[in-house]
Amino acid sequence: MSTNTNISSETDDNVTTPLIQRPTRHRYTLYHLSTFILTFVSYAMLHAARKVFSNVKSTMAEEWSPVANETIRPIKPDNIWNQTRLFNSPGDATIFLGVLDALFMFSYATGLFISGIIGDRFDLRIVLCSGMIVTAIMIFLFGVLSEWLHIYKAAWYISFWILNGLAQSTGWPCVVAIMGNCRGLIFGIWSACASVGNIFGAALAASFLTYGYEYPFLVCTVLLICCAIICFFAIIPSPADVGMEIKHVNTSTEETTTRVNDRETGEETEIIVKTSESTATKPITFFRAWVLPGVAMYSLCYACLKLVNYSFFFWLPFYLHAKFRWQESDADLLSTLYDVGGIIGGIVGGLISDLVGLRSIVVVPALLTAIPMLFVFSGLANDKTANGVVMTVTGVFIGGPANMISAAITADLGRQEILAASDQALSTVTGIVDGTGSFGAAIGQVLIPLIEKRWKDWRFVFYFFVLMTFVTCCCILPLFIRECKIAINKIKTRYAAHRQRNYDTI
Amino acid sequence: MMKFSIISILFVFINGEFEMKNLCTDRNATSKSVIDYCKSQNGSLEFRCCFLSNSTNILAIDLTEMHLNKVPDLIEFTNLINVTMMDLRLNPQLKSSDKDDFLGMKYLDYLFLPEQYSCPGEKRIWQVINKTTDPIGIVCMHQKDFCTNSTDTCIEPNSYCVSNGPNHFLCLCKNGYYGYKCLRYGQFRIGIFFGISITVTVILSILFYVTQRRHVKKD
Repeated sequence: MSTNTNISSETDDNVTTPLIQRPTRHRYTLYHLSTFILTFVSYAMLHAARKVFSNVKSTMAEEWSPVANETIRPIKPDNIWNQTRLFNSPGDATIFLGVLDALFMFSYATGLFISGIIGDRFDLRIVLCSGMIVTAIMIFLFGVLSEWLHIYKAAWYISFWILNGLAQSTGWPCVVAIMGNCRGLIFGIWSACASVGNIFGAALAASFLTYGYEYPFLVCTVLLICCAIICFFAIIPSPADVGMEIKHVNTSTEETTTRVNDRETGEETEIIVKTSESTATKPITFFRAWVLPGVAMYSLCYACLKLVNYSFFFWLPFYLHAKFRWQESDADLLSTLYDVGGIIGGIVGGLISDLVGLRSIVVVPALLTAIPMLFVFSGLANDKTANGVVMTVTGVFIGGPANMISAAITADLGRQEILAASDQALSTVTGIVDGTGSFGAAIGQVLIPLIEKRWKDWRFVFYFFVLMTFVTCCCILPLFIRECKIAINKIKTRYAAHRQRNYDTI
Repeated sequence: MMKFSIISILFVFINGEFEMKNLCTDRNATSKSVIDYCKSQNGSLEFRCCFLSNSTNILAIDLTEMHLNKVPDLIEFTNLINVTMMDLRLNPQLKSSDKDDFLGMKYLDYLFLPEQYSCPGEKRIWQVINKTTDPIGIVCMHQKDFCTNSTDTCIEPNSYCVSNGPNHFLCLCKNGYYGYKCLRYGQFRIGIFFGISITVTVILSILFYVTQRRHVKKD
């Protein structure tokens, strides 16, 4: 962390702009690669479990109810067509499934705050692995056992899905904290893990659904447990554990001599102090994490953005079916395109902001571009190609910033200079930002059907999305203005230095 | 008191017994159609019912003048499953209930009904419908296959139609499909799946442990 104190002190005295930690040397070892892959796969698996549920929902609704819309004569035999296992019609079951989704989001959001705090206090590896195993067990009980033992009870489903939400919340803070400990990696590519998880989950559901809706859940359970076991034996939560941290501390103290060269005699004690400090880190308190600069602002902004992102992604198939009468498979394919757009946006945005060194000047323009895209999308005709293209582009400009905020920016916030080198804050900060975001998404889950029912027109839902995107931009406006000034300063100094050099050579 | 309860239980038991055998052992068959049919099929008449040799299932039954309110169903009288001729005339109180009358009587070819009760399904189901005079009633002859004559039978995917008596049908699952609403197809290979995942997990765990966590320094 001390690597970058001198970079920020050049430009701004009150350190309110969290700048990216640019490593002095990019040292990609096997350890970096394995951490990248393991955290990527773990979170992708957790997210896949969520997506599996989304995709098997309609089959579950069918299994829970008798045949709907019976013509003049009821269809026999009863044991194949007319068992009222839980609901009287697939329509009732669908409402219940929507309720389950909202409950999941609220419990996930609550769990994120708690998991963030836990992650900073215990071994990240243990928290992550136990979270994955508990999720696996919950999914098994929810989807597999209930079908094998024919336990069709609403209370059963509700309680296990809420517990699943709490267990899944351990994933994100832990993986971000592990990745954050390992500096110098390309967060942009890594932040695609959620979308990759979605695509994998959709593939799982599609492949195994024909055997019965409980089999995608079973496959997920087994894969999660296997992943947890592998991660338990493989993940190294922090470079310090394998002795890599010491190298970084050495290089950083070399940098600080340029600033504190009158304390050269004290330098050696500094090194010793730093190494002992890095092994005795203390976790930050929850309230101190909230008042860190940038955390509250980004949390609020992420709440609005995640509302749009999640609701868009989630209600999209339903909207397409309601407006254009598309088949479920077509609608699912289109929401996959939105995911793909999110991946591209996250990678490109992450790379650009890594190179430039500033984050919000990439996020805000992207969001402002998204607003007209939303208007365009709401007015589109029933053309699959046009919808697909606009969908992907919208995904780039909304999903991209969302991915960036949830991964790269959160990691910056959790490792900023204002924290003493001894503070473990990354997991807590991740928990806070993503927790607020998920609450926003959960509220959106409840609001969207209400808006649609009240005004009977999906255009109002899109206007609501536009409003939320605009509020997101407003939340990070102060930061954006500050970063613009820094960028302009940088360009000016570079231009001046260039002119100076030209002048010297003449 | 005890005597009364014992007698009432006995009464119910005997009544129940009567219920079971009520169909056949009331009196001799009087319907000419049933008697002629039984003779032509080389069956043996036992009071009202005609049995084929070596079978407990009724071939033809004469239910005239039985003061029936509803058509006897297969749940109560399981040996009606293969009945080919049924004479229900001279039952003025007989009421039709479309949902479960004649449910399951797939082989019913000659159905004699009292005049207040029309042939179930009319011309859609029966090839020939005539009036009879001795006794007065209607005769419905030769059941048509329900599925081939109706368009809106099994609209659910993966199911096919099978006739199940006059004006009744079943939707069974097509070949390979099974389970509730015929939603399932194929068998999930649990053995292979677990085998592969456990093997891969063990291999990767050992590999990663040896290359990674072995170097972890315990402070």
